[in-house]
Amino acid sequence: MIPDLKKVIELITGNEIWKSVFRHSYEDTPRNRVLQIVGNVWMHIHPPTVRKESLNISYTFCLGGLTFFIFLFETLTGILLMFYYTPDVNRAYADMIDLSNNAAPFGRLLRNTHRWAGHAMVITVCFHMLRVFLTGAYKSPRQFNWVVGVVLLVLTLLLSFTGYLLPWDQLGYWAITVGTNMAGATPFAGYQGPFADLFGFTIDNDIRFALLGGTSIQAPALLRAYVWHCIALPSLAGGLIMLHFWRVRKDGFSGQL
Amino acid sequence: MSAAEVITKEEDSKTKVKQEKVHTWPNLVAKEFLCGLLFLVIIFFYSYYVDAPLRELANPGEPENPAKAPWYFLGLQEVLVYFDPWFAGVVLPMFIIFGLMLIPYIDTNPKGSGYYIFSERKFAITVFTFGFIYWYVLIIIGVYCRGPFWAWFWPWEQWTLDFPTPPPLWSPHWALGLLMLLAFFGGGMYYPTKRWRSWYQELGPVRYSITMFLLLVMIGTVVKSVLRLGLNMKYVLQTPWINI
Amino acid sequence: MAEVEKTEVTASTWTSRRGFFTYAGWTIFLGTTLAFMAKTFSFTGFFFPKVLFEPSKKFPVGYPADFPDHGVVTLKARRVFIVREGNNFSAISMVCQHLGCAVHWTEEKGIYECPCHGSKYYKDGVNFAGPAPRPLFHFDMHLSDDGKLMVDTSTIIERVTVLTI
Repeated sequence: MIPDLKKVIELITGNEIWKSVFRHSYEDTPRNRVLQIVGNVWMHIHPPTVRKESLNISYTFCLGGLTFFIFLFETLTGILLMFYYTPDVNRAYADMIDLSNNAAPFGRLLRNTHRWAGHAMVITVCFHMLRVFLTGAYKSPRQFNWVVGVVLLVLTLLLSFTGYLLPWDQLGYWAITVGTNMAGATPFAGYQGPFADLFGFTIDNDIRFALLGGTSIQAPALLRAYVWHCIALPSLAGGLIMLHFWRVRKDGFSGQL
Repeated sequence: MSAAEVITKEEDSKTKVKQEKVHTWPNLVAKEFLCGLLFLVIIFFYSYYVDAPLRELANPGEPENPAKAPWYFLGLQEVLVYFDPWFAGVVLPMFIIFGLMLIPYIDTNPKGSGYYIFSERKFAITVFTFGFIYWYVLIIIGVYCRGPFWAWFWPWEQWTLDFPTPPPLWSPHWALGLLMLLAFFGGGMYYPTKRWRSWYQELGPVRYSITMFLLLVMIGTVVKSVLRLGLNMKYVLQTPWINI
Repeated sequence: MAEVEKTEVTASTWTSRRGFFTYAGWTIFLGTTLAFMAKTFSFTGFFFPKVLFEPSKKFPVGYPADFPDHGVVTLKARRVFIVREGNNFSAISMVCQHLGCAVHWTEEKGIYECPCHGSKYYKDGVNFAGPAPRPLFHFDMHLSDDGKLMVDTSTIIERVTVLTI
């Protein structure tokens, strides 16, 4: 006997549990289309209606949205990679080799997508900035959101930087060398920078020392890069992304979208 | 999309254009979803066929030759060749970051907001695009034109270790260098106030000074690179405390 | 209505009881927060470890006779060059003074070269081309009791100083 489909659906969606989870029905009505945006925590970063022109891809090229999507993608793949990576100078590189050899299921694909998506994120962030500039979308009243965007660009680059240190290969080791020595050349606050003597900064109390957790590149430097990459910088970026989107909604879309 | 989906809103009082609005769900959300899916397809295909870079195990005694950063930092690495670390590694990036942040506050031109246009904001777009392209030119130089010991090789040349040793660098006397710097920045700040007087008055002294200073730093970076590559000049200004 | 306005005005002056506690509360709150932030993020704060486990800065590099008469020996593990000119020994740091890469001794050209940004140094460690802002460090050397050459990387000495044996 074939059950009556309508009755089955009624049974599933009509009970108290279903109704407590889903706030409205999914019939394609104008009311539900609006509710789908304003009544949904994941969707309500959108306005319920947009101008028809904003559906044209050639205004934004989806660059900001793509950047956010890649950020979420990097978070997900990053968390998965953390299960198989040890931030220890004696093990980090071997863990990378293991992942590349699929010691964990999909390990190679996981590492590759995480790395290449990071590259893609730098590209989308740069071109998102170029797009916003060329359309003058930073102009009043959206000045502050551009500032937040610049900070997010810097955070993206810092995330990339701290990320490629972690395999503890030649690239990472010499990048951390050069990067932290640049910090050590900061005027006034780095031990090799101009006017370092003025405030008495030496190799064991300057900015570089704080980044490395020592005077030379040893185990603490890798651990610090790891914590910055996995916890501190993504949290910071996540918070600023929220602010960024919130301001987009409050200031309104440029181009009267 | 069918006409029924379009919601016609009341006339916009400013533009007097009838704004046609559509529901975000599903019109825009569907496109975003497709955009994300397309990205996933591309990234997984690419990652399946191309392995992410993994070099040899870190060796504190010997870097790779040449030791190149990932492409997005090669612009910075290239600038580091021409300036001392305190400038190229700290001060210049700070200028770039804070300069970028200041853009909305120094660009007071209300035109050209919300659409692509060149004619209404020639100066802004020219300068920004120049900076953007300059950064990528540096990246391209770093990726394709630098060989062992960071020596210059054209992309079609074979990398070799027996390139000639470059001649020693020289620096002008500090007084001459100071004069050159003052002439460059002083002249650069002064000349546009006369040549483009109305533009200067429109911006006002504060916005004008910031704009011109950042622009001159950008141009100065190019000039210094040319002086180094063409004339083997180490520093424009050499003092016991700072060298530029 | 007028009474409400009046209380609001008095509340914002610090002499009223409410005003005093408002100011005092904010002062204590911000002061405490600032003090903790300063201790955490300032110099010698949380990010500056008080104990370090790092390799010794003094180490033996071998007997003087082990080094070729006129030559440069690269000790990658210790990141020093041992330069011998007859009876004179000097220990030159491998760390590039530009941004800390390990420089390479190119025997044919008789110079040190850096693979990161192309700095060049003469055999005595003086920079002449590329972005390096100063010469390579020369480290203090002495003979140990059993006749081995010892290098002390914690002491940087004048370029002209050599250990003569």
